[in-house]
Amino acid sequence: MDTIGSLVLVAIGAALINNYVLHYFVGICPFLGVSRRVDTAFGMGCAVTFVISIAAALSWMFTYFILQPGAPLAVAAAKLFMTVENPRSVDLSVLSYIVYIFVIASSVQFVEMYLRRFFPSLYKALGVFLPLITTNCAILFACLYIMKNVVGVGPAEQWGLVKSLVLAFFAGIGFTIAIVIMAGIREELDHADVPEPLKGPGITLIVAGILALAFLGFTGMDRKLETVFKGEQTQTTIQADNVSVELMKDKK
Amino acid sequence: MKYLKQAWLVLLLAIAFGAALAGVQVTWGPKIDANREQKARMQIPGILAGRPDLSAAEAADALENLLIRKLKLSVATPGGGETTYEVYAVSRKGAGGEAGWVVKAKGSGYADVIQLLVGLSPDGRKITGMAVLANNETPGLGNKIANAPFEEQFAGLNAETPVTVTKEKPPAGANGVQAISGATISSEAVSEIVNKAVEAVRAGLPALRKQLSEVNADGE
Amino acid sequence: MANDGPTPLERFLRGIIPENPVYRQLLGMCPTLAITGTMAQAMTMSGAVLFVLLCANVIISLIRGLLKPHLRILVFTLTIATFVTIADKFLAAFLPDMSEKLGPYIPLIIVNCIIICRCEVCASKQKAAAAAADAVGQSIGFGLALASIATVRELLGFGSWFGVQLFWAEGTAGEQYRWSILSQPPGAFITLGLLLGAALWIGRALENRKKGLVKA
Repeated sequence: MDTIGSLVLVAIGAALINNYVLHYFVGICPFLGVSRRVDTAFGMGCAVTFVISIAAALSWMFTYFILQPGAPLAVAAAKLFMTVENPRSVDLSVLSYIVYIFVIASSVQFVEMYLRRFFPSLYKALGVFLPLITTNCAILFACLYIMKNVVGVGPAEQWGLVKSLVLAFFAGIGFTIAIVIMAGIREELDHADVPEPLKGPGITLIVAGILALAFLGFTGMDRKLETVFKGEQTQTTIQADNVSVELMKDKK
Repeated sequence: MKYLKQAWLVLLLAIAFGAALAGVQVTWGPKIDANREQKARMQIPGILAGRPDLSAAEAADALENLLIRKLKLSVATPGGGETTYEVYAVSRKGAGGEAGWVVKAKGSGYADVIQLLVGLSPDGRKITGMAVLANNETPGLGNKIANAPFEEQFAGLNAETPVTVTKEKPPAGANGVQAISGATISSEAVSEIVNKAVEAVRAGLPALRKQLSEVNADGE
Repeated sequence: MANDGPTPLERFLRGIIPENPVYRQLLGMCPTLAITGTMAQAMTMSGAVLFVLLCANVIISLIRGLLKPHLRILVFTLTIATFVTIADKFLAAFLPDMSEKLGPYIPLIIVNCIIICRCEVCASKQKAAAAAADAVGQSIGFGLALASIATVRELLGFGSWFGVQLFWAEGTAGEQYRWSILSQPPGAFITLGLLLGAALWIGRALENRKKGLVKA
């Protein structure tokens, strides 16, 4: 079980410190395209949060149970056809990207149907941008980030479903925060005297740069929070009998 | 059934591409794993000699005479939970004899995770060197932890007491390193990671030696 | 199949400046901001995009007759994802350092609007030769755009170009003059914003000059 502390760190990291738009540069296309008005921006942010959470949960399950080296379902299926000496040699991770993009496309379809049924006004307002969420880099980026923390990582440090969901959800929240702030600023910019060549994407990018500067101020926050949660790092001696050693076999 | 008729192209492509990717995995997979390992191993001679500026050619030469076993050290951390370290047990071929221990450790730096290697003398009492494997610290400030001037400060330090970080040059005899100006937090993060790893390896030395002798007894 | 539409040569030339994916079509913003910190990264990324775009365009063009309308996006995505995986594994095997630096941005080529857009607009409608020329042209345009941004960011942020240190070397007094903000996220946004403005301004000035000449 992950401690609440580590989950909070992951959440704040994804939403603020490593904001997906302003730090990792993903999700820029909708960020530039849909940030004209605050209410559409907020709706887009919520839709993206919804999709990213579903997609992350599904892709975690695929990765953990089927794709990673030594995945339980894959090994069980392989055992039907051949003898498997080293479970870790059953490695379907080369199919990861294909699986993730299909998971994302399906999640978007699902959210589209849901919105059309329960929030028809939002569905109409988002229009063509809703299916375009499939090409939103942020969602694939979240799936890849989760994959990085699941594949090839020891069982003690492997991310579970809860942590992955927390990361994805708060990454979506961070995206929403960024896009809503940008929409608010752009609404004001409509009344400002922007030079002709910079109107539209130009000034939006410059404003995004200043926003990114502001968000840089969050760096290092996670280190201090870590000490808050784990207490000051005292040099406690590790007992010699709390230690175990095993040989790591090279994957020949 | 109608969907199946229309989807035959997708299925065919999926099978064809799947086969292509399987081929890619089989041909390049081992090379990718080897690259990852090689990156760490190339640093080992430099770390054990306390020379972060060892050239690739010299390192490759030295590696020829070294026998390296990779061991996984699991340590129960205070407060529940467990941390694992990869420890390279390095010994000299032929006449044998331990050359030292190199442990791969990681921890949170200022911006992101820092990954590094720390070398210990065979008896675990001295730090022979340190090399930063990966970092995402601020370019021009924090990422100087990966440069030789900072790394070589760790060579020859005492492993029995924690390494300290000071803003000014540490006095002779103090077990400390000087922080990079403008990057105190990154420097402190590195020393924290080093101290924890050193402590874990020193505590696990008996178990490590036992496992190593078992492995060597089983044959090279 | 009817081969209406621009010839291969036209497709090739259009992709470089008139229909430049970044400056004109505003597609593929994510890598443009993320990996333009240094020229080496930018050129590796354009190389990867060239490979994926070329292979995807050619394959899609060859099977364009078999594509059903509502399944074609699926087919595009499947093809692109496969070639991106191949490119990613290639980099991990033969250029491991670059692969680490570019990290998750290589797989993000899958959702790079440029590639899906070209498949949709060109490859699914024209013969393989035109599709291939289009792919090469667009990739060169993309590469030029990345190079323009990366040059600014690397020269002013590090004082080097393509890894070759030109000025403001580390350890010298000049080091303090580096605009290190350019090698970080805010610098990327601002550089691209200003360069976009400059590109639009130059474009309009050239257009007006042409109009002026025609009128006179």
